[in-house]
Amino acid sequence: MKDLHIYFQEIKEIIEKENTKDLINYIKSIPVSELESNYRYVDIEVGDSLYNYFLRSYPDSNGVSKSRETPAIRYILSILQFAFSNSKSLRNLDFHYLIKRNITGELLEDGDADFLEIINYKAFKKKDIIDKWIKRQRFWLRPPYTTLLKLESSGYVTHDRRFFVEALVNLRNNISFSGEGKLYNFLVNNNFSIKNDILSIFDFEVNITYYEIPKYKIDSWFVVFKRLIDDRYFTKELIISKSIGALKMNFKQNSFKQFKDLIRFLEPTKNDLILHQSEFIDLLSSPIGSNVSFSVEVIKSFVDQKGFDFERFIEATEPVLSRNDLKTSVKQVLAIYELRLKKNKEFSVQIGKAVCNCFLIKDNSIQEKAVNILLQHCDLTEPDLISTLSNFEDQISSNFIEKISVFFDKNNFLKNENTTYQQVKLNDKSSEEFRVNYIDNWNDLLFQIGKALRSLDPLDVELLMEGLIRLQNQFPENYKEQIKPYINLSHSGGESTKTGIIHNLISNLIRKWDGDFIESAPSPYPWFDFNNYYENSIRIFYKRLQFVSEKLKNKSTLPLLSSPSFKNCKVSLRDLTERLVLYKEKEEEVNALDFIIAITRIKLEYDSEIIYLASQLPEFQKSIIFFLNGSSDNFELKKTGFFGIAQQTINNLIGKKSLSQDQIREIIYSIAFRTKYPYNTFNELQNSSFSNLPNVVNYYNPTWRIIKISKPHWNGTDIIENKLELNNINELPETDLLIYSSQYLKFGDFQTIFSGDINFIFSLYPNFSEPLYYQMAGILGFDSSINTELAKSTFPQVLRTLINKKIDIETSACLLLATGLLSVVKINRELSAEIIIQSVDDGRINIQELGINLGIMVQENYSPVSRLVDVLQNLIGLGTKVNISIISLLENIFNQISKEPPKNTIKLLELYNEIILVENHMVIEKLKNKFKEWNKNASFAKQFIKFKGLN
Amino acid sequence: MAESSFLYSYNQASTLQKGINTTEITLSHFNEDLSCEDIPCYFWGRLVNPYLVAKCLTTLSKVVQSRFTMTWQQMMAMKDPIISVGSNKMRFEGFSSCNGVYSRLDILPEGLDGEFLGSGTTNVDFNEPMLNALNGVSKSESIMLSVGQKEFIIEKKGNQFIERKVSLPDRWIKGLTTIQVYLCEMEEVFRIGKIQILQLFQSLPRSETKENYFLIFRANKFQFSPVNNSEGVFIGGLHRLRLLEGLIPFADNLVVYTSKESKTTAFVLFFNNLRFVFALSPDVKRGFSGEGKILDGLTDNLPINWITSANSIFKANEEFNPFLIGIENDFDSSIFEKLTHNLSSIGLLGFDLETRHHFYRRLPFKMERILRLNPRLKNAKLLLENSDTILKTNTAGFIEAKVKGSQVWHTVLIVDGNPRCTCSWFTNHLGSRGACKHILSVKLMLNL
Repeated sequence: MKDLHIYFQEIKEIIEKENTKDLINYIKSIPVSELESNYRYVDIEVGDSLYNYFLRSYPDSNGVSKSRETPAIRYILSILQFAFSNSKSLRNLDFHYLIKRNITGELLEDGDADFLEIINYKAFKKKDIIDKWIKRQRFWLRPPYTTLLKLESSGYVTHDRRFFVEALVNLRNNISFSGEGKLYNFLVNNNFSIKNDILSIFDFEVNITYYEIPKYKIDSWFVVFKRLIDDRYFTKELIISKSIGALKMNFKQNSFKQFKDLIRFLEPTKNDLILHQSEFIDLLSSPIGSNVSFSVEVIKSFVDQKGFDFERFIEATEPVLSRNDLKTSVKQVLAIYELRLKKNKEFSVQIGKAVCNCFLIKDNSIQEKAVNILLQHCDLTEPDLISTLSNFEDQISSNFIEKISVFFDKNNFLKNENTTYQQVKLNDKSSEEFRVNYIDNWNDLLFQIGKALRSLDPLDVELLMEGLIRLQNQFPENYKEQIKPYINLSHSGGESTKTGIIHNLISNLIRKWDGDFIESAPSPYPWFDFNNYYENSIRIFYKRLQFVSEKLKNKSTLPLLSSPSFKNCKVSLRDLTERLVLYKEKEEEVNALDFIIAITRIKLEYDSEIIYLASQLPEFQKSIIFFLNGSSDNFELKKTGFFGIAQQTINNLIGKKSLSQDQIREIIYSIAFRTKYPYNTFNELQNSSFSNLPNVVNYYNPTWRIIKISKPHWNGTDIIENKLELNNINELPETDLLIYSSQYLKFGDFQTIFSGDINFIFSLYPNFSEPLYYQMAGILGFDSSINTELAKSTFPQVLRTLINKKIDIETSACLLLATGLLSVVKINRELSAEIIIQSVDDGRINIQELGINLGIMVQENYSPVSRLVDVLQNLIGLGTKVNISIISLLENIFNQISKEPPKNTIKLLELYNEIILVENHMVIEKLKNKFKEWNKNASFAKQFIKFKGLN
Repeated sequence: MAESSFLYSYNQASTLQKGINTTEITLSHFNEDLSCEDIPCYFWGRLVNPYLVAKCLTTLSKVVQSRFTMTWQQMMAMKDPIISVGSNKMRFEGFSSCNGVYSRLDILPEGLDGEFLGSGTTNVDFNEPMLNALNGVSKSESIMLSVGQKEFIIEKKGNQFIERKVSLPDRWIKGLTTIQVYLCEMEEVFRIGKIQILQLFQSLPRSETKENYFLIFRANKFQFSPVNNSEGVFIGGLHRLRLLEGLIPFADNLVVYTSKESKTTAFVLFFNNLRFVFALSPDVKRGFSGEGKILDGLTDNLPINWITSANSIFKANEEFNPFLIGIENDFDSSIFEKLTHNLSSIGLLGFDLETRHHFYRRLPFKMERILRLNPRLKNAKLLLENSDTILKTNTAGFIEAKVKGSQVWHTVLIVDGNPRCTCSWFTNHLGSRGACKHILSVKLMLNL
């Protein structure tokens, strides 16, 4: 084979002369075998080079963009491209689409002699591939239908239904068919189209949507079909039948509308439609809701016609009646039933049985209609009907059950009334059963590295840190070789919403383990200062990892004070005391941050044996341990005693400001106090320099409001959005050691937070997480309508911290929960509902606070009320305890709503009525006055009539 | 996407032709096993529940056309289901393109009224016009089904098989090899009645779900919840259940099976004399094909003639309980289990959750497929052949080995039968998706 460069040079020279004949002769001179065996190189290498040389623009000596391209060159290149391609290299033609445009069907259709010479040059066998090649073209590059017809008749293209019908439909975009009747005339003059292609429109996903193009006046397909029917090419019956058939196809949802519109456009009479009753009835089982609705709508128009098969209609509508997504159609079907029953009762049992399915839809108006049909038109002594109805007992709203319950066997009816929620088994992971087993050998430590690199459970990281420190003298000689796979692994995987920042810090810690010891300051980003990272919990984790590095560097094998004793990351008081004793014995300095995290993680319990152990400790540490143990509630602040923290370490921890040892003691006292008594006042620190900071002396009661933000809309108007804003705190600490005070970020500081970090952050403060929930409410609850990764991934992760944990849901957690219940993201609403169920059962939720929060949010239009309605609807019927809480929740919500309730408040009222009926609860006096005010609204008044004891 | 799959071609397209009184569905088939291709027609007869069968087949085709993780470009041409005819039953099987959903329609003997002309497994052509026609089958229609053409004469080689060429991807065969291992592990958890099914499926989320859900039962109600209770069933990628929506209104019962260990779940819908099995992988990003579940059962070097004999026994029985057959044929039950694994690994065995029996798929008996379909096993053997597996310690309950990886040596420990490795596969999945090649090589070395 010739060198590719020679090919390039030879062809380039021919092209420059713009002589097509020379090129064809040249191509014919190349041995076919050579081309076939090397087509790939010739096609790609030479083709690309020529393409670049002739068609790409280049800057001339003055920097002006120029090109060697002329129409003749483009044409020659097209021929060349096609000549060099074979069936296997067709794909490459796509890359040169500019060239390709010239060799579409037009060249064949017009019978371009040069082109046909190449196509028909037998040695190249191009004719065999032209059909395949044309059919591979992207839609907009395909030859028009008119060309296809010619190519088909001359044998270049074989008929393919999909390909041809797509081209046919596209004729409407061809301006050569401008003028009324032109497209129609073309079709009727072309028997082939009528015979082979037009009806394919109903079998493939093509666009025949009705729209006018006034400028060109090209016939719409709807008009074409109407004329074809009028001129008896097709019958109306056939086109309607085909259109209904298309509605049953596996098309995309938005492709169906055009067929429904076509049926309407043809204006069928009742007599026309009854011919298709069977097809329409079959359409009722379509999973596509809009098609079912259409079918119901059409059937409604001819249901009174003679010959209508009502029995089959009942059978087919049964599954429709339980469809939550088709409420309007359900109401229409019920109307059809009612009309029929008013005329005669022939199918009353079948209809009654079908109507029962409506009770699966939680919609009061539908259920009311269903009950009325059953009561007014059906024989409720009919055993078959009663048996079916009994199956739906649990589904019938309490608003109507009373009306219908007389027909049930009393004992049977009450069978589920005492059903209680099956409690999710909570595992108290700080019981002895869940004690952590620390790693005690190198092999387990080795594999723990892998676990920590991938796990989102903070315990895996804690166990690794603990093991690294304690077992550092037991590493085998070849440990570097053994950990190498993990060092490689630590390089893979970057920061993502799933892995988070903390995981990156851990990876970096492992990555740095290439030398003799782990280097300090394991920041994965040299340009990034973690000391100033806005989220203080991430900063704290970073500093803990730094401390681990330092311990390894200093060969300290004493355990971290804050290493978890239990699987929920809590630290046993005895473990902490024993560790402090060890530090004292070894005369090793206690790290203040480590000590503080040990306190925030402490498992609060009384252990009499601790008293003796702690008595060995310096006064300050002893007073802390006694206080946490409950041995002493009098917090006498110890200002003396051993608390060996090197000044250097302190500076490293505190950030901006240096702290004295007295100040550090005060901080630790305040942390210990707040851990034990989250909501009390710590008077002993009234005179401290930190007394004004949140959660030092007083529990910080967070405040917030809903603000209106005006945003310009694309249409020129302003739209008002309602957002949650946390009120700013006047003073914030300048040290991270005040761990419960430094999470109150200023408005505007809120950035994003990764879901992968959540478990790690919350593992730091399991006893008092209020400040964290406040921070999270600010970040996650700001906008109820955001659907970002933050809302879909981080928010659920934060909500999960309130599940299966013994966390009291008070102020900030209540605020977060309220925003969760109103979030646009469904999973957040579902999780919030689960939290309510669990926490009500555990008695750890302040339902009144939650109700007030929700009431304010509803009143201020923070989110649509319907979201809350959906959630609460699913909570009803989970047992008396939950029901009573929902009643209280709703009462607190109503109390916050003014004289003019927001849209859909009536649905909350319906729910309230339903649930007080179930629980036999009366409307409270305070609400009665409020309801009187609302009674002026007609629809509210209608609802209040249904309330027991209100009137 | 490179697939070492094989192409199959139908001599003609499957059709659904409406007659005056009866509609005829003729399924065109192609069998990779040429000996079976001699059977022109496997079944010819009337469907007792044509409307429901049509609904089920439509759902099956939706599963086959669905994809939950792949881009459009990655999705290959539509794949056709596999049909197994035997024991007076007919089973249509298929996977979603991403291999994370398996579905199977079992037409039980009472659901078929006709002649079984042969037993076999074959691919059937599910072309678009036929599927569209299936969508239009009405309740009152009577349907004759023919798997293959009764009068059909096989054309000689060299004649054109032009209708359609579809590749049966290895992914599918791998899926078939794995799914039955999962199904075998599953246990029945819930049996749900008609009304409860309707109620349950009303709460299916409309859009894709990223969080895992659980099917729980509380306050006499089944529901999908993002929080588990002690008896909840794990469901990864809950939105995939929407594929079943078209069948839900017709189901008499739904039985939910799960394997808690592997977090796979199967939903079996019962319709009189039909059963529709719908199994979900633990996550939308995990296909059944890549799970490697079967690998642990393949590390024994069983004699080929044992596997061949077992194949003959299973083939003859069509449906069987391996444990009972083991007793009947005087095989040790553990060996028989391994034989079952070997035959499953080339896609020959399926599993029926309701009867707890295996069924035989008459696919070609190709032992070389065991390695081709299980590249981890193949690579483990290569590690052994190249002496890249070095045993350091082998004492009671403690095995340590070094196995060569990419630029590093991995530590493999097997303590009390519990294997661990420092490679990224093990670190990422902790054994939940089958053993890595390093662990397999140590097991192969020690015949564990």
